[in-house]
Amino acid sequence: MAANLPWDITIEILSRLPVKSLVRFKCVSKSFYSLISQNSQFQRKHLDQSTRHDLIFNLQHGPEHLFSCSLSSLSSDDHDQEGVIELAYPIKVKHSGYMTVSRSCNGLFCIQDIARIVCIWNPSTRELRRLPDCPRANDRIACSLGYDSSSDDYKVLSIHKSIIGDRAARARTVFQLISLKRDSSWRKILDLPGMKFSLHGSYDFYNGAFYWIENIHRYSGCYEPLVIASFDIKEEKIKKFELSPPTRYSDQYTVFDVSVLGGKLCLYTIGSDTSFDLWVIEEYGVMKKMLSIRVNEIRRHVAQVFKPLYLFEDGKIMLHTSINWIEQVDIYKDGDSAPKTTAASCKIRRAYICNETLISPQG
Amino acid sequence: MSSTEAKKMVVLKSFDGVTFEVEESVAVQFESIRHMFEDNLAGSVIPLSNIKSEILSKVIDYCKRHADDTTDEEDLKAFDADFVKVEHGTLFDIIRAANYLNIKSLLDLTCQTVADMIKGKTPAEIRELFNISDEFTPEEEEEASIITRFIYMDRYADC
Repeated sequence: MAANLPWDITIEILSRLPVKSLVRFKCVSKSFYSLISQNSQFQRKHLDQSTRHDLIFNLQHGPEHLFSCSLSSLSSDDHDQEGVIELAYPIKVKHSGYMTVSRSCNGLFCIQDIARIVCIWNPSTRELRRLPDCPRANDRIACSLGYDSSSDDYKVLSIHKSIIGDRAARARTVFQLISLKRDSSWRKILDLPGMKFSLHGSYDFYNGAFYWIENIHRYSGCYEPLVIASFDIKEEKIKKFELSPPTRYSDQYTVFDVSVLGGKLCLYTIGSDTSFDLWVIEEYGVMKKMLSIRVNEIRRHVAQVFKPLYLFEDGKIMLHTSINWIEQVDIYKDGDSAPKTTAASCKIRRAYICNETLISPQG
Repeated sequence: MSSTEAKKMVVLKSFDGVTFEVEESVAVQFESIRHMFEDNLAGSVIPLSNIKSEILSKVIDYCKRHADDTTDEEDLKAFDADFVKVEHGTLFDIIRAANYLNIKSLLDLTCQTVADMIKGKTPAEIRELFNISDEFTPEEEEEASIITRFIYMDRYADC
């Protein structure tokens, strides 16, 4: 049965396929090949249509392997399970399987190898691109990937601390940036006095800027507002706004961070009383409570939340947690004291989420 | 539809000469011909010279159901799921019609149905289905498939 479809309809159909089918269909014909591997407009269309997200993880007792599985197969009764796929590590990692990974941007990850060389990785197509050597790589605090829609280009931000002598007062913060399309080397953008970074932040990218909490390392925990800093990817400038803590926090709260969940900029706290609270930052300085989870008291002493991974449309959230000494990926909803679903009960060491994309790390 | 007040009607004529009288509130979903009946050409017949009556009647059914605000979401989902349970040839005809009339939700539904249907197929089956003419030479194809096998560690490369 031949369909004899016009090319624009063929494109409509192909743009709704999973990446692994498309990669396999490259060898169908020359026009399929160039559409799938070279046409950036098609790749963008595919990304915009795609609702498929993958969970990528490694295990405590098998750090030499990475695994990938689709989120829909974990979270719903959808029995179209494609199972768990083994992925080769794209780069050399330490024996513990530790690799520094930023939150994904349009399905691409920014990762660092053991020599702190930054690479851009697309886990769906397994493509990897090694970026030029970065000066001062050893004092890097974090690096993160963002998309500049004004120039249709990806940029990597690398943040470094430099302390002259051992006096924190003389600390400086250095920002370096590289564009995937245009730059052949890293550009030093800013060199500021003081510590303008967050040591534990993930520097998530949202709506044209990277976000972090600037004063977290000296946050006293009570009344002082949080300073939310952002680095605008187009203007290449830092902007700031203040956020009053949503409730009064005592020092039982151990972690604050900003993150992008469900396509929105969020603030979350992870308490030492095994609580997890999430707010959406609606506009600068205004927050709306999204959910609050307190893990069952009996388990309190052995439960811990590491980080939020994914916010589902129905309001459920996927968290990477440790319960009874087992690190796992759980799905909770607001008010829960125990996981609704344990998505992956094997002992998960690291977990990341990305959308499936054909977009190439070549930029 | 319980209302008895006169509704503005649009007349559509299929490729094989069958006319369909459709309420304007349904026909507004036909984005590409919307201007023709909105330009005050009431009563005139709009020819759809590349859509067969069998297909046009299905498309109108779809749009009627989707224009009806009283249908709840679950029913609509069930209707959609049923709607695409047709022979492949009919499905492709509906896609062509949805594309021509620019009915986005119907195009989404039908293209997604085909995508789900073909995602596990082999390149050879895809070639047959899409009637591909610009094939690779066997050597080029072997090369492309070796690369795929290499990328995916032979887990799902069967081309």
